[in-house]
Amino acid sequence: MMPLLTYPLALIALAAVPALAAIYFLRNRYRRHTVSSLIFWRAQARVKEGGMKRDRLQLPWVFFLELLTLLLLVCAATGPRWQTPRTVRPLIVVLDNSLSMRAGLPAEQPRRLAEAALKNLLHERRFRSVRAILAGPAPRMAPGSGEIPGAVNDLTAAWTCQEPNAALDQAIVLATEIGRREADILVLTDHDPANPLTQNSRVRWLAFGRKRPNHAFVNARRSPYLQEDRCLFEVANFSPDSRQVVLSVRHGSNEVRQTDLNLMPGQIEKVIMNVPAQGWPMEATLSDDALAEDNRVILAPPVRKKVRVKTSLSDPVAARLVDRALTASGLRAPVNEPPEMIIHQSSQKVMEPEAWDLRLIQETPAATYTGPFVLDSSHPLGAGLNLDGVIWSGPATHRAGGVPIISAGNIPLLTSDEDALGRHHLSLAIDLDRSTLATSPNWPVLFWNLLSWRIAESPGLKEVNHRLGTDVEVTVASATASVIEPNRVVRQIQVRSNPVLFRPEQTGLHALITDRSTNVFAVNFLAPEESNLSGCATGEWGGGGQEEDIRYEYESVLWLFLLLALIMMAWHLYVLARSPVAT
Amino acid sequence: MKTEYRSQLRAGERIGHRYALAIPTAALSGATGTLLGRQAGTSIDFQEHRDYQPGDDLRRMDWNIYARSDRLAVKLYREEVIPHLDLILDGSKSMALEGTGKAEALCRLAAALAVAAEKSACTHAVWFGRKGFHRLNNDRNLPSTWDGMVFDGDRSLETDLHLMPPTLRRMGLRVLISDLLWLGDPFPVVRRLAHQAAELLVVQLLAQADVDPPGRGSYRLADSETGEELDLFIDAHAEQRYRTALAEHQRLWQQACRQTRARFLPIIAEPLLKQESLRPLEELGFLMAA
Repeated sequence: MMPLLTYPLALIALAAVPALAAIYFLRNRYRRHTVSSLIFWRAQARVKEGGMKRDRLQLPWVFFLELLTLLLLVCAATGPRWQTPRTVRPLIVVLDNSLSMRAGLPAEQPRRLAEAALKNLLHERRFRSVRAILAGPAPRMAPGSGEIPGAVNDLTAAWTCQEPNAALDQAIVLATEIGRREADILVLTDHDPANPLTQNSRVRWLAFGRKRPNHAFVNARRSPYLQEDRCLFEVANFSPDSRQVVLSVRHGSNEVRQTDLNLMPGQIEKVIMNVPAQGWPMEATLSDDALAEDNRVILAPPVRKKVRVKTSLSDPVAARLVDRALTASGLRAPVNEPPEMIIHQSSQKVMEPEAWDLRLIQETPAATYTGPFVLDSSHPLGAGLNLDGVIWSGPATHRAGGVPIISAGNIPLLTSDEDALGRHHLSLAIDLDRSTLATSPNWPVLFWNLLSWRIAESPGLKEVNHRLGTDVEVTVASATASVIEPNRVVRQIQVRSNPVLFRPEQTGLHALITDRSTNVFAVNFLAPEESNLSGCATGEWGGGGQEEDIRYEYESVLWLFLLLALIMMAWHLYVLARSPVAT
Repeated sequence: MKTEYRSQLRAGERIGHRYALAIPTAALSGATGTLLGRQAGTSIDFQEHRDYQPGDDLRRMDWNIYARSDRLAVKLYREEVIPHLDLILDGSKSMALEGTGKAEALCRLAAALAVAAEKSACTHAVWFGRKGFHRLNNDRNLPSTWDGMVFDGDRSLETDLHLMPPTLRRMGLRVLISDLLWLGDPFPVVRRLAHQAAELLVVQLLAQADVDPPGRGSYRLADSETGEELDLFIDAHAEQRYRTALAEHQRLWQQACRQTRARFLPIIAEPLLKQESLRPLEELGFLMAA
């Protein structure tokens, strides 16, 4: 029902109600009347006291009929509108699924407060349907969403708040598209909107956050360093005051370091340390604060992958140069299994399972090129090469075949060709005796690129330590793989093409299981913007809506009040017609 | 005494000159007077003969009968009497109800009856019921000289009869004028007034307001005598019940009068005041044109 006092017509009609009451009061008040004797009246008073409840009413029925009619007309003058299932709007709730929604004590967490507010809203207002969008790095529909308004618990079951950030703007755009610009959009988050909401926006923004002091890991790396592993930790203080933070590092079951860090406001402290290259994960923790999840990182041991290279070179000079370059790369593994890379000088491609080949070709007639060379620097083999000043003796004429990576004019010098099984066949056209490439730094770089590329294309993980919210890239030789998450839930991965990308949803150690091997990788919450709780706020923005928009949700029931008023008036006439006084 | 009452007494006096009491035979007794009584007396009108009894006046012996039949007989003559009218008036407050003409009508009616009695060679006495019954001052004289008619009695007429009853003349005419609006059995009152009376006429003098209750609405009804108040919502049903109760009350009085051979006459005050006659009493046969 719309507010009564905003309608002058209703106010005027309402003023008639006390006027009517006054008329009847004055008409029916006790008038003193002296009679000769009360003997005949006293008996009547006793009759009334004994029963006849209908006569107890001092006001006639017509008064109540008139009063009711007036009240109905008053209500009609307000233009009454009622919500009906046909006119109510759908509601789309955008849930901030970032980790900062879990800051603070359990009872004070923004998520808990937002859930209570959502319950209240669904209790107070009716919606045609209620759906939820989880706002993480990319918005997605919550599994519990449906056309029929359900319990809040169903809607928020997937609202885990473990994402590294929340793309609320994208989620609002998605909600607008889903709601076809008719739905009310409710944003539940812990900070104020980045852009002010327009006055007539249907977006209602509720924030339940609070500025809290917090420190966090903002970066953590573990990489091979000679025979050891080198670890890097970056700890940031997002508090407005200086804080002393205790950093504890455990390697396997041993605590290898415990350090007190004195951090100024906004300071980021780097801690670098070397640990033995053993196959144990490292765990670093910080002292407790408002957000627990960003105080712990786990670093899995880095992958030390090498390539089994078989050389089959007839030219002793070339064999020596290649062997030196392979050895210098440090990525060469002994060939105790089928080779992964074959370097040869035969005239044909080598076809072995899983083996790539590099064919050194000495063409005749030859020509010497001093540049400029055309280099595909985006190719894995072209990274880091600088061919300025290099004298390259290659073929004098163009020879078709493969994708050129290094060319001299239209003469391809280094080409790559991929077969149906994904094996790459490389051709390097060079006369090492007449070229200076092998004596330049480009030679070992070229072989380092070659082996690195091969490692990257071999089955297994590219990287073992990931930030939450980033994709894990893995090459899987089999058709399926599975991931065991930290909570022991097994997640199946369908392999349609390599490399496979998937996004972990939890922090902690994961295990990737394929047909051939089991690889461990770690996912850590490293999100400086999310750990910084100084931007959190509580408040409500937007959602006011224009009056016309609100009225759209209510269907006019003016006809009902007028009809009832007419019925009352007809009844009034009937009562008057039957009244003995009137006759 | 209010001037309105005195003017009504004069008016009644004027009206009464046109009437005479229709005196019943039973009322012809009393002191020696001008009317022939029922019994033998000293008048010159022969009534009958009867045998002589010792002690009879020898002067009334009829010697002719003795001569013819050797039997002693005496002549009897009719006696001459003066009949008497007792007017018993209700002096309670309800008779002077504000806005009604009950008290004025009572004055006019009483005065007319008194004058009619004079015209009929009747003596009369006026008993005014006000804290017991007392004779009105100058009640033997013309009504315009009466005094002391103050309607301030706060008891019912029945109570006044018990408290200080009037001294009523034996075998006289008696007229009770009252609104009779009190609760109780009317028979004892009527029987007491009718005792040894030649005739009793009970006149119920009501105001139009007593007959027609106030219209529809809420009223705080006040008793004119006791001051008691009663809050009531009067509608059509209440009005009907009032009329029914009044009719039942009158029926009881009428029944009591019938049982004691008295006559009952209800009169509305206001119409009576507009007339220069006493037609209801005339039609009843209590008065006749002089």
